[in-house]
Amino acid sequence: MKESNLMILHYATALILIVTGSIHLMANNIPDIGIHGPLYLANMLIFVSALMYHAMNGVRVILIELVPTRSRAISYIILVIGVIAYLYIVSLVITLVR
Amino acid sequence: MRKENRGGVFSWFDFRNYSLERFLYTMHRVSGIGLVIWIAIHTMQNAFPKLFPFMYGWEYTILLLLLSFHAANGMRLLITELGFLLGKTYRPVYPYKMGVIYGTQKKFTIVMLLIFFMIFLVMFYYLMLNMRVIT
Repeated sequence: MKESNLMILHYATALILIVTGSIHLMANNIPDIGIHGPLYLANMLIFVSALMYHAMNGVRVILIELVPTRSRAISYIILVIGVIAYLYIVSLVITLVR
Repeated sequence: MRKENRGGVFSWFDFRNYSLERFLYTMHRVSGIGLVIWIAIHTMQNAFPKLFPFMYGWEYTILLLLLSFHAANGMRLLITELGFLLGKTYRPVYPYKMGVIYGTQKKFTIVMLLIFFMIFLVMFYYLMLNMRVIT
């Protein structure tokens, strides 16, 4: 994928994170807010997906800036680590919320 | 052969002769790396709560600082990089005026820092409530 498209996705996930992250924090720290069950799970899944993309792309950008000659290798390594971590976190979220 | 102009990680912390935005750039990176480390810690806390107990107190306060700064500065970057709230450009004719960065963008940066502080205070208030420090 083109770098510009990856950065647009980075910005889009940032906006998603602000909304879903606020809901996550409020649901866990303000007891009367009333976000639980399937709504909480759906929010968590969107949150975790956006978070993992945003975090992994952020790390990738920093590493590529530091070692520009190895950009392709860095991208693939980060992709593999990111997918494994994402699958683990999603399974953890589903287990804990249920 | 021309030497590449790359200073590495240490050059992030060289703020001499740079504007406030350079400092914010470094802090955005540092807070981002901190939050990635936090994701790993938070996952471990949820997966193995006995091995990695949940933290409250100063550890959480640092997290809130990183989180509120990264969110507020991220909003500033998003808005300015999409071309909004930038200062007006001008022809470089003597006597030179201040650069584009010192116009609307600088005021917006100050507003962003205030927003960061407000978000941090709100989250810190709820942290103190949950820790039963205040009731």
